[in-house]
Amino acid sequence: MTRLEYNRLIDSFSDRLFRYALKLTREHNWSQDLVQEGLAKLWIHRAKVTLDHAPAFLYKVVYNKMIDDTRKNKRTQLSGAVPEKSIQTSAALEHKDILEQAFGQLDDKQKQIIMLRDWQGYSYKEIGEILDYNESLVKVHLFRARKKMRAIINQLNTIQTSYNENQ
Amino acid sequence: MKINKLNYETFVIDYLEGQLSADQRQAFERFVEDHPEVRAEMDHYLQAPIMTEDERVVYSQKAKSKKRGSVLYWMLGGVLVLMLGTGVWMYSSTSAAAPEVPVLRPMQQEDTRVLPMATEDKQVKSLESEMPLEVVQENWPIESRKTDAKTAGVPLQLAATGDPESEKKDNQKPAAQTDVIDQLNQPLYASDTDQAEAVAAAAPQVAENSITKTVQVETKMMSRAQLPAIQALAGVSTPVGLNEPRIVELVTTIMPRNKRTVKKKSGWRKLITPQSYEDIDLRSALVSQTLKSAVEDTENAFVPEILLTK
Repeated sequence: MTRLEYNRLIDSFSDRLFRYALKLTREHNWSQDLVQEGLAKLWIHRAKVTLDHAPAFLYKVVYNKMIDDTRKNKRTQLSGAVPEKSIQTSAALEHKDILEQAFGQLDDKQKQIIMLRDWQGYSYKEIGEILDYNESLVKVHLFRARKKMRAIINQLNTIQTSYNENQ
Repeated sequence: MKINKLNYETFVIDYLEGQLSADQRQAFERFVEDHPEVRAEMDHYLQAPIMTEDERVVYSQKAKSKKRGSVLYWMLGGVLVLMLGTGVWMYSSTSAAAPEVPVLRPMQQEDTRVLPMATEDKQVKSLESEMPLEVVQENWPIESRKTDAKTAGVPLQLAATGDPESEKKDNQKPAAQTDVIDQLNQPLYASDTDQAEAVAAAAPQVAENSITKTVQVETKMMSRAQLPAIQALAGVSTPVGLNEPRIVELVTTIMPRNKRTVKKKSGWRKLITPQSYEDIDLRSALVSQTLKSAVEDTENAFVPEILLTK
């Protein structure tokens, strides 16, 4: 990967990578640190990483770095750490907020799989390479994640409906 | 592989995406019929929303993350070019500010004696009319010239008295011829013994500056403008008989000394003049077996040498 390709990748992909990190961490500064770490490692390994594989490389680096930071700093802001009882219920809860809350109830693996599948359009094999899963396990996690999201959304909708009826 | 409650999740997505073989598809459909809750889970899966990105969220550190190595290289290159240009400019300005230097020509080791410039024009002019052409030719050799007028005593030719009428005639003569006569107006020794003593006495005192003076005098002698006058005085007409053996002799004898002279004072190296270049070109021409053309091009430069050895 040349310097020019590297800079172009930053232009085209850094936003998505930052959003990916932000979804995982829910911390702006931490997400920026993760993205910078990923880009720095990509520059170091630019001779080995091709332009096509650079996004997967960055996702993997960011995820691993997040795991390391979590273990070191004992951060608890991961989505999996959000207790289910923290689900918000209010009259102003919109569809987008419901989705965000449902997404936040997933564990980090499920969250990543959904993002990689829905955002990046990666195949199950590519997602498995990023997360060090085999293809079948990716499918299992994706199935469980979507099923869980749907269940949470249904729960939130039920709560929302009853709240509106009481009002 | 038999589908059961422990592994059915592996087949759900493939089933929904039509990736199962016919046998696997039939086996999975039979499993779903036996387990209605799996059908509900599949419905949940299909009803799950597709997550979309919030494109309003952007990474604000793009500029910092980009690599700008090429810019640094260009800046470094620019600085180097600037430094090089400054050096060239300083060198050229220093060279331009250097004083004008006399023309160098091949010198013999024994020629490092001072040939004082003809500063006393009255004496020169007084001698001019009385100096026969034969005397000029006989006294031309540089070896017979005095190094210092004070140490050599009264020269023989200066003993002659000046004539006002001859001075008027002198003023009417061509300038080139007058210059040549000025060169010839050097005091001579009364004898070879006096000459040797004078040289020995003067040499230590003029060791440094004598070369410059000598070069000035000889340069003046070798001026092309003076060539006709020199030839007229010497009774030699062009061509001056510069033949191939003579050129070879000049090259083998003069050039090494010339190079030695240049190296003797490193400061003189940059003072090499076209006169010296002519000599060098002649030498190169000889080496390349182009003697005839070299003679035609540079013979004037060696005319004084021919006269000296005549």
